[in-house]
Amino acid sequence: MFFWNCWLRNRSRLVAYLVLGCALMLLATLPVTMKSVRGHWVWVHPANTADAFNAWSMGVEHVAVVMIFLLLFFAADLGSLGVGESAAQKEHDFLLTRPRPRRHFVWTAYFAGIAQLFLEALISLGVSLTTLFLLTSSLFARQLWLLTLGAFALSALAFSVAFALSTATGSNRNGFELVFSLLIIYYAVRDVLWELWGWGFVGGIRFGSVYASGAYDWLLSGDHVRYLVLLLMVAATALLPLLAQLAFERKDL
Amino acid sequence: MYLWKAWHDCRARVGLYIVATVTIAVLCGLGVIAQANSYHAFFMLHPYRPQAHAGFYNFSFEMDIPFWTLHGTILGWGATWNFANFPMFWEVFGFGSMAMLLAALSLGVSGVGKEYGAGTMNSVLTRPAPRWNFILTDWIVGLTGLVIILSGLAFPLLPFLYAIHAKGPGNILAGLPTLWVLGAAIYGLSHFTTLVTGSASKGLTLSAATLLTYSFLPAALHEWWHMDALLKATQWTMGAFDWDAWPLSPFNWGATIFWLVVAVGFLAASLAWITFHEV
Repeated sequence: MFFWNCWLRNRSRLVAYLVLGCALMLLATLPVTMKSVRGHWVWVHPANTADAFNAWSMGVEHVAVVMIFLLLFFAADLGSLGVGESAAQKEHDFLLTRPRPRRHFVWTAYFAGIAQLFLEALISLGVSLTTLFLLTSSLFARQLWLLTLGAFALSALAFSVAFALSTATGSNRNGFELVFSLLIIYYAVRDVLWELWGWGFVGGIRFGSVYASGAYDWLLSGDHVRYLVLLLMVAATALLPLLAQLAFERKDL
Repeated sequence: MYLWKAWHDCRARVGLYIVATVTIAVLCGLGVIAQANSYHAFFMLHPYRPQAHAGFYNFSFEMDIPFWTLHGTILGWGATWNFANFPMFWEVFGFGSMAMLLAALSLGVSGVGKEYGAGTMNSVLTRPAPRWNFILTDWIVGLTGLVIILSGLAFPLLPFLYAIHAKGPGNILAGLPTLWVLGAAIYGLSHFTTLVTGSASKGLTLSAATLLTYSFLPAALHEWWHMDALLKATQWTMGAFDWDAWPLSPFNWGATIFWLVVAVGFLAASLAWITFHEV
């Protein structure tokens, strides 16, 4: 029941983001087969497999950029709602007198958000795959779905951070602001220490020969997928709602 | 009375952001001292010291690090070294714009529009004051906070400049007015969207989405669709923050006036909305 309540509350937002996602995917994928012919940019169907592969590579590059922005923004926005929105709407008196433990509300709101985030990622991926397939009449989707998986993992982490903060602080606005503030402070401290004093270890993790200074670097660093970074992100994603649950259970409301 | 309420609603955030900007400024000030020391050591240890070949070393220094070569001779080695140098430029226009963005958005959504979501708009609007008074009070409090926050990036650097024997504040203060005006425009955007949507979180989302679109769409159209007009227009509006052109034109009148007009436009839109909108 509460799952449906959370879903209903955010559905207009979800629809808006789905429309935005589809538009952005078209913006990113449609020009991949455009070529300049006598001074005009026109769509040219790839003549052979190599051309089609190049078009796919370009499309995947575009989609990766758009996907990460779209999902991160949606995640931060969505994560700041959930139980935090219930506090803003002053629904706690009603909500917490239902015959359910508090953790039920936390995890239900969390999974409703993750489900919507997943739907957004899935539909955006579907639109980009379909467009690229129609433009090139071929399918080279491996890198695209891997990138989408990475973007989804990262945005799920951002969602968890926003969700945990908004639940702990009891305000959707605080969660949204705190996530962006933390991100900026993280990059500011990292850049200050690196640029001015050459201290590059802050915020970076070394895995064998790979140095990941940001969670998304591993995705853009080449063909090798670093599952360890992905696992770390998933672990953090799972831990944060647990912390939110602990905070919410001990809160005097 | 509403002045007190407006201040009460945002004072914690103003304090927090001032602490953040001053911290960044102090970090960068320490970096300036570290860099000044390292360059001083380099020139003093070099076999061809600048005192002997001042012309040559001045030239190569300028070619290598053009940002640092406008005016001011410091540290006694003869090379020109602009005290409004790279770290400070990077701090004010890199983190400065970020701090401005966050502070402007945060203060903007603290405006009177959030009272709709809190269910207290009826109480506010039945006070014995004209409706436009609430908007103007919000703007006065918000912009004052914003100016203080952004000044926290520049003024704490002055003691560090004194420590490296700089001859003045240089171009670093010339960049501040544009930053203030751009901050006012973003404040106006978030204040207006909060008023229209009647919710702080919705206003924040809408403002952030608008800003992302403004920065992303022209670049995407340029890179992917080979359409340059929108990108050129956007670049003109952000001319004051142009990394390459900045040392040559420390104050960009065109862009500053543009953002001033945008800010006034949002103020007028907010005033019109609260005056004519039926609550």
